[in-house]
Amino acid sequence: MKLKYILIYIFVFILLSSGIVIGQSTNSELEEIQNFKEKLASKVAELQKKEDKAISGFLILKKDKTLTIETTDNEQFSVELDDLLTKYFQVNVTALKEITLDDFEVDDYIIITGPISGKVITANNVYKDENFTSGSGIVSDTGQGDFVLNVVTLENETLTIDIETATKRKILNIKTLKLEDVGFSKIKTGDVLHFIYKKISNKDEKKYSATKILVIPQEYFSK
Amino acid sequence: MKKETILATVFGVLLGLIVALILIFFLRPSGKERIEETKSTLTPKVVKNNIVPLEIKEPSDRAISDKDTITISGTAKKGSLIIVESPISEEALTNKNDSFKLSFPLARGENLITIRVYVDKTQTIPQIKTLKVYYLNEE
Repeated sequence: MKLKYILIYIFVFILLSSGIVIGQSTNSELEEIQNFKEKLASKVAELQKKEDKAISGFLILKKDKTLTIETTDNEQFSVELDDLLTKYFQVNVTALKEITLDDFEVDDYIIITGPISGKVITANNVYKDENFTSGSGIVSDTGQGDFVLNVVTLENETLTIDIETATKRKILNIKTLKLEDVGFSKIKTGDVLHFIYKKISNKDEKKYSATKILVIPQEYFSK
Repeated sequence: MKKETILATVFGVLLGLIVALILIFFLRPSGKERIEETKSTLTPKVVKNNIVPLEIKEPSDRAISDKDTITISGTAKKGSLIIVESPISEEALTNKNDSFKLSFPLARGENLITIRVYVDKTQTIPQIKTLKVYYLNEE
């Protein structure tokens, strides 16, 4: 009888202790799995960030889950969207505002981040932004007091640049080589002009409203 | 055929042969001379090139930045005027060495950065590089 109790005791002891061991190993395994998952997720995020490239252009076609954009170099890219993964934002000066796909229209200027394969981008994020374009040339005419500059560009094209009240105007001081603010009346025919303007579509125009101009006086070159 | 015609033809052919022989044996340079001439034209001449093209080391075009300021560095001719512009900022500097480096602010979204280098004061046409750098942080 005693032997029977001893045997039962030993059996229960073995059973309990093995349970504890199994329980312990399960907990540590779960912990390990959790750690592995976290490491894997951070590695994937890191790799995704490394692989992420940005490309921008004007939206020329919006169809179901695909967008087509045309870059300013007239290259076309197809943008693949995912219902769950792709996020949409409006770029504001202070922050990014989350928007939806419905907020995008043809001729919007958009930035896409995500892996690029040839002419196809799998979009992680799509941003609605503004396009700025820059150019330079020589002032050929300062207008008749109507705040307009005619400029012959490096490509030998004549463009009309509107100078608005909000246009930032800078000039190179040829003595100090520092940039200073300048009034319209100081700009002369023969000066070199750098200009930045907003484009509202990918079509080229002959007249632009300048966001910013920078003047290099002709005297800098004839010194 | 008349006798005069035959004589004129023979005389013409003979004259042609004489001219051909003179061209081949007297006026044409010999094989040796031709080899020497070829050798002399094949000798490359080293021409010293003073043109230093504008090169941008960083950032790369279409780069995504985590910060609202980037470092722009590159090489350009010593003593040239470098003007860096974006819609929100502009910098002018004179290149003291062959390389330049400056810190430049970024706006949220796409940043069109144009770098123009005026290598000397006689040229109004600059060397130009345009970069698009993206600052897309949510905060």
